Amino acid sequence: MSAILETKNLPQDYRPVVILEAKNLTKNYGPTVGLSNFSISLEGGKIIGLLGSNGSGKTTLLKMIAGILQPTSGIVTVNGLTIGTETKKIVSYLPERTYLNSWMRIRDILDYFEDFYADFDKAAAMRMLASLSVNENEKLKNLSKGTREKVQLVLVMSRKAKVYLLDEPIAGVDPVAREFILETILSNRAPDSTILISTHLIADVEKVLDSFIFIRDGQLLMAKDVASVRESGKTVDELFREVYRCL
Amino acid sequence: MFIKGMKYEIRAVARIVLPMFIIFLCAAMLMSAGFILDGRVFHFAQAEENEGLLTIFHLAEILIGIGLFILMVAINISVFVMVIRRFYTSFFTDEGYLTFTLPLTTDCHLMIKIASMFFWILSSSLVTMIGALIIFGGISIGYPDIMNEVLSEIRYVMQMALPLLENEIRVSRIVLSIISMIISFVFQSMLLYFSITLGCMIFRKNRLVGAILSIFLVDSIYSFFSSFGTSILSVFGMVSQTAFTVAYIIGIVISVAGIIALYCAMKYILERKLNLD
Repeated sequence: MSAILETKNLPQDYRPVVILEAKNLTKNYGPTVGLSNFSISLEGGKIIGLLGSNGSGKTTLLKMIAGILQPTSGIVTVNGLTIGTETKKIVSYLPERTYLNSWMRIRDILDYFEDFYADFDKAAAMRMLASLSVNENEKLKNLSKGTREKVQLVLVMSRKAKVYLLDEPIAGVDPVAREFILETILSNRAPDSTILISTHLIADVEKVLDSFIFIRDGQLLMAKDVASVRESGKTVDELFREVYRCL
Repeated sequence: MFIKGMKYEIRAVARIVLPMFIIFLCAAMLMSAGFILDGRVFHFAQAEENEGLLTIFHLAEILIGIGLFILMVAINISVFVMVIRRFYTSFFTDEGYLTFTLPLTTDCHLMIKIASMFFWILSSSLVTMIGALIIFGGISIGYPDIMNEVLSEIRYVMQMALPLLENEIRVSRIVLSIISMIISFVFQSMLLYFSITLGCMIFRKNRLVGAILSIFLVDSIYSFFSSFGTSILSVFGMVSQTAFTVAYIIGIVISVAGIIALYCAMKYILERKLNLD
């Protein structure tokens, strides 16, 4: 199954730029299927929700785009490039777990990102950390789990990347923190960037999405613009329940 | 990028190893000062009046000496363990999510790890040597007579041994030995890194256990072939010097081929077969 996401309200001469493309992507973990013959083509400049229940293949897809997992078959390209060093320069990935060295101080982590990512905006990161009242001299291990996750989000969103991959950024946090996270994502994304947010908390992210992808058992179920769903008088959350109930 | 990678790699190990280096050097200085005090001050003083104090002093000196030796062994083991641990954590734990999303090639990642191993093993050897020099310095100041005697003994042994070794010591042979030593070191490091990589690829659910098992298994296989190679070298050595040298060079070439094979295998696993959970 494949899908091309439509772009609405654009000039007639507009030629959509495909930023991310997956062709017949399959990932098997031994006998378990992570992703099965998954094909999709995503245009740049949108916030796209990667929606599905737990174990549907959302994380697997994001990991393959980030270069953490190798596909069993098929191909993924970002900005026309196969996954590798060049795509890692333009993809900013937030995994579902803490990957930073807990013994490092915040300021060291900022230097680390500045050293390795040419698109990292240290000043923006420092501003966001200040708004969180996080002391730069603090070691990561001294921060609470929630604050550590926020620091990680700040680092990822401080990159002026072309593609942001956010894996369950609002899972397991309180409603206030969710607000902060969504606000951080919206206000700090690079212009014309594409954000792919994976979540099963659809109602919370729906308001910020331009498009969405429904995924189940490693297969693409549906890919649409949020506006077209709203035109039919439904919310994405309602549509999700409807679609998943039928299966 | 290599330099930047090295900077963070060295920093990660240094936070544990550097304090140990400092403690070791301080202990060596303490011991050295003890020798100077003992030889220059107490030795010339009327020791009989302070026999009790002198005994305590000598006891402390022995304890520091034992402590220093333990510290020296601990430092060398810890450095090795730390470097190996870094390799494991930065590639195969959650930290791998950061490592493998950095815009670095697999070659760069691997070169950083190999260079880091080289750097730290060299540093710990250097610190051990400095510590030993500090202690010998203390002994030579505290007990110049004893030191002179030891030095003249060494000189005598060298004078006796040199004519016997005249045919053995050649610049080409020394160069060959140094090259062989470096290659052997790189080979051992690569073998260890490869074992961990292989173990982590096979045992996805319990990577640490997999890595440890793999180290033992690969090392056993290597030891078998290595002892076989050493036996062949000994046989050639008995035939003639030239035959020994040729066999030695062939051994080096095999090691280099081994390094290349291990490197390619690791690169292949990291690029194509590694799946972080």
